[in-house]
Formats: sequence, C-alpha cells, structure tokens
Amino acid sequence: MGFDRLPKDDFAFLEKGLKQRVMALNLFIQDIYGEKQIIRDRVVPEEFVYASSGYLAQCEGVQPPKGVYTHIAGIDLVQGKDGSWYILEDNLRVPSGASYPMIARDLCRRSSPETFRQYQIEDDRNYAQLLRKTMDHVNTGGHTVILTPGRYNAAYFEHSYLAEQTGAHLVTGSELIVENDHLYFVDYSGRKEPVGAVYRRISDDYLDPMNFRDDSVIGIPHLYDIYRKGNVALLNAPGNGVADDKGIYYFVPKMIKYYLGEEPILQNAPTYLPFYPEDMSYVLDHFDELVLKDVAEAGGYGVVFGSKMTAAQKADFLDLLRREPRRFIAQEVIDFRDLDIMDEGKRVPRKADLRAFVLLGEEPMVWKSGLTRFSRNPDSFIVNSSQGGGFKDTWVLSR
Amino acid sequence: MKELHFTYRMRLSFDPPVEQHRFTLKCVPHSDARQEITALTTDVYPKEFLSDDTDAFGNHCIYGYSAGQHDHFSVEVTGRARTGLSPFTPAPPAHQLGLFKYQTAITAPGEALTAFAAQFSFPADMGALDRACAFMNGLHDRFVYTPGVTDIHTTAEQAMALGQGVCQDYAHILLSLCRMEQIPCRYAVGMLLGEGLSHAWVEIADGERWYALDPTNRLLVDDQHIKISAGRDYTDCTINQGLFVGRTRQTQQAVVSVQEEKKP
Repeated sequence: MGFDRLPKDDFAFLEKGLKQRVMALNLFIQDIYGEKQIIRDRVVPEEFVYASSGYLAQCEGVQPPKGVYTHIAGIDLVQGKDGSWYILEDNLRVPSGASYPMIARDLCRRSSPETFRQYQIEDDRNYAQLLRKTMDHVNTGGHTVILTPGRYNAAYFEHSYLAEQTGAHLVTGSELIVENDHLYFVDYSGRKEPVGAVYRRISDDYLDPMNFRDDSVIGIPHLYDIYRKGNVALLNAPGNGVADDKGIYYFVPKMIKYYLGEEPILQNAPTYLPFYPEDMSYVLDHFDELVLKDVAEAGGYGVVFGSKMTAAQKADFLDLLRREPRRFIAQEVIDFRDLDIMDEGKRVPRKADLRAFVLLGEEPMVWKSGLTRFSRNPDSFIVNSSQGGGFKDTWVLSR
Repeated sequence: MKELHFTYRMRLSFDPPVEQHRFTLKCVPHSDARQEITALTTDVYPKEFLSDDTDAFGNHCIYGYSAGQHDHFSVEVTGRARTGLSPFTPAPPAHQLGLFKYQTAITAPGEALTAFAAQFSFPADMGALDRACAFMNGLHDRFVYTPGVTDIHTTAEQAMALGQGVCQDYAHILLSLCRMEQIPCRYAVGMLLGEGLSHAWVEIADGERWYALDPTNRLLVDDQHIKISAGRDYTDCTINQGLFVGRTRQTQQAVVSVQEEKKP
C-alpha cells in the first residue's frame, strides 16, 4: 500500500517521530543563537553552523515570542521498499504546499462524497485551525496577517487560500508600517490597526531592507528591529535556515539525543560527511552507489548521482569534493517505494515522497494529512514542483 | 587614562527634498571595561518617530522614520569619555566566538591576501595577540595610507592587491589575515583623538579578552580611541543607513572631534 493512503499505525509512528524531531530542531536554533552549548560540547562542529547560508548573525541573542522558532515545519520523508521510513530533508524557512492537499481533498469530497463515508479516512479539514492556533499562540497583541510577495509569486494561491481559511488578513509589504516600535496594518482609508503576528511568506533576506538585503522592495523597513524588541511575532522565525541546511541535517539525530536525551524515532537516510576523513574515504570507495548533494542548493538542484557521471565529470567532481569537502553530503540511494499515479489515463508507478506538516504552538502538532509529491519522469528521483514534479492528497486512515 | 570630550556631527542635504525616510544610526558610544561614557547628548533631525535599541552585536542603534518632506537629515552626538581604563575588554568563551572566526564576503581572501599571508610563519605555541601584532606590523610596512583610492565597498582582497587605502581597508585586511589563522576578530568603528572622520580598527579575542589593534597607526589601542560599534566587518557597523523616497542629490558633511578635557 502506498503512503498516499497511510495506515493508522504508520501515521502514529511518524507523528511521534516528527514531534520529537521538530522539538529538537527548535532547541537547536535557540541554542545556536544563544548559549551555543552544542558547539561547546563538540556535537556539531562550528564550521557547519557559521558556513551555512541560513545562519544569520543578526539573530544572535534575539528571543522570539514564547521561544518558538519553527512554527511551521515541512519535513520530507520517503519510504523504502522494505517499508522503513527515512527523513530526507527538514524545511524550516518558508515551507509551502499545505494548501494543495487541502484543495485536492475539498474537490474529492465534492465529486465523490461516498468515498469519505465508505472508507475510514481522517478528516484533514482542520489545518487552518491548527495554523490559527499556532499563530495565536505567539501573537503579541493585534491582528494576524499573512505577508505575501504579491500575486505574481508562484505560491500566491496558497497565501490567499490560507488567509481565507484562517481568517488572517492577506497583505503585501506596502500595507504594513512600523511606527513607534509597533507594526501596523494600514487599510484602504489610511486607518492603522496594530499587528501582533506575521506569517510571512517571504524569505529572511527580503524581510526588512534596513536589516537584511537593502534592495528588497517587498519587505517592511525596521520590522526586524521591533521583532528584536519582542513587539511582533514572525512565523517562521528569521535565522531558521541554520537548522535545515543539508550539512546540519546529518547532525539532527545527534541533536535529538543531546537536547532530549532520547533515541531518535525517525532515521535519516544514511548520510556521509566528506568533511570527516573516514567518511571521505567511504565516499571515494563507494562513489557510484551514492547521491551527492551540494549543501548550498535547494529545490532539487545541486543533486548528482555518482553512477550517472561520465569519467570526465567524475574527475572534475572529485577534484571539487577534495577542495571543498564541507560543501557536500553523500547519501545512499534509497530504493524508494513507488506510488501509482495517473499519466495520460494510464496507471504508472513513480518515485514519490511525503511532506509532513508539523506545527509548533504550545505543543507540536502533526497534521493528519500531508503533501505527497511524485516525479513525472519514470527515471527521475526528483519530485520538486519547480522541476516538473506533481502532487497528490495524502490520506491518513483512521483504522 | 584620558578624559576626552567628543563630538560627532553629520549632515546630509537633499536637493530636491525627500520623504518617507527610514534610518538607522550606529553612532553612539557606550561604556565598557575600556571606556566610560560620563556624559552624552544626541540630537537627530527629523525626529518624527525615533526609537533606540541594542543590535545583535551589542551596538547602540537609533532608528526612526520621517514621513514628511525634508531637505536635510542631521545627527549630533556629544559627550565625555574616560578612556584607557583597561587594556582589554572581556570576551565570551571560545565556543561562543565562532561567528567572528569565519571570513565574510568583504574579508574573504583571494590571491593577493593568500600570497601576503604566506610570508608569515608562526611557532605553534604563539598566542593569538602576538600573531595579530605580527600581521599588523607586516601590513603597516607593506600598505600605504592613501585616501580616495578605495571606497566603502572595497573588499580586503581588492585593497591588498592595490596596496593602498584608508583605515577601513587596513582593518578589513587585518581581519582577513587573522581569520586565516582562525583567530576570532571583529571590526570596530569609533573616534580618534583629534579632528577628522570616524576611524576603524580591529579587535581580536585571545583567552576571553578582546584586544584592540589599530593597524592604520600600528598600535595597540590605549586611551586615544573611543569605540562606537563592532561587528564582523564594515557592514555591521554602518554609521548611517537610510532609505527614502525621492530622486535626489545628496551631499554629506561629517566631522568628528575628540579633544582632551582641560584640567581645572
């Protein structure tokens, strides 16, 4: 059975593991921008923290409201042919995609209501409630808004749909203003209303031209200054990228042990860091069996398979790997469980992964659904929508 | 130890006027183990919305907003400081200094800096401060103080290749060299005894102490410097950062004056 129909027990296992993982990631971010004990205790080498593009020095010593950094996490999982689950990637910056299964379920319910009477499928129409609860938990007083770069953004549908479903205002940067240490929403008549929480769907770099990229025209000047003072919540917290870096991924199971004193419930895909000499020699010996990922890249880019390189490409790559070992991770190629999809009216198997959504409010909550993504191309392992991948709803079965 | 009186005055003129002006100023010194600020007044124009805070590096920031049209922006900071109270300031333990150990876009070495650094070799037991001083001395011999050949965007590598520049360039090069040696170090901005512009130098951490080195003047900072801010490089210490609406021609006048207090 494919995981677009997820048995109750499988989900319960994932739920437990995902909560544990997100709790540890949140503690890691807090530690990195605070006391840095995990560096002192040599569990995570500092090179991986400070060379990460997601690390933002501006976040040093800054406490987000209620100590929450990873409000909305999108954790990507795959299932091997033997049924075992692996974490592929943690997305803690601005993970998108929750609206797609929401809308797919809505359409399915309308076109085939009997399906949902005959089969025991968990109702997933509570995502908006979970999200609202997460936003309200950290709200410092005032409206809740969803900040979008605008209607030409690829995820604009999602921004507007989530605003509609949660009852938050959908705004662009030009509708928000910082005055007297507080953030205001300026309505069409010029009236100003205080804002206490911003679910921002723009990246850290563009959030505030006075504190990050000064050429950003979609951000809000001085937003970060009042956030630093604790006068507004930003979801997700700026600087989270330090924890979802591909190099840092390797250390997440160690973080779980370090911060929670527990054994990790969910495992990483077997990963090697050429940074460590013993891992480097393994990578060189087993190069053709591994997939190599550039830690600075995302969206399915910077991913190469050792077995698919020509001799010349391989020589060039190995040269680069020896010069910049910290830049790459190597992973065993997992024999994914295929999912059936419909392609031009035919049922065909494709590689797929599952993005689970974990929301962290007072406690971590795992949405009883998720975004199942599949590759279009039968030979491809890449499921990212920016590279032609498709998506499906994910059913969690209630028995 | 000295008792110093200081003034930082900056005026930006806009022709034609601008509006919706956002600004962040890092031009106010604060007390630490080395210096005590005993009197301080600040005046900013326009002052429609003004606020202040401490940034992630511990620097004092004034930030604000002016919606209406204005043809100039000005700031004046005056006060008194007792300097040279200690040869160092306390630094956090080594595991909390990582952010100052890695090169930034401005300090990243290229061929010129790598070649220059290769001329130095240090015994394994040589301390961070001694290494940094060796770099400072070597740099001072090799680099020529020349105003006008570099600008605020010049990188350490570009300045090294050019062989000349101003205090900002000396500081960035010294940072780059120290970071090649894994010495935690930061860029410092402040005022120097006399009349002139703002000054830049370097602080390096050695055994939970920050020592300050002024590579432009080849000296260990004592009581002639008043520190304003510090960060990984120049960009963390921008004195005046602004954003406004309007196509305008800006002219800036800035003056720093630091004098010894007359003894009564």
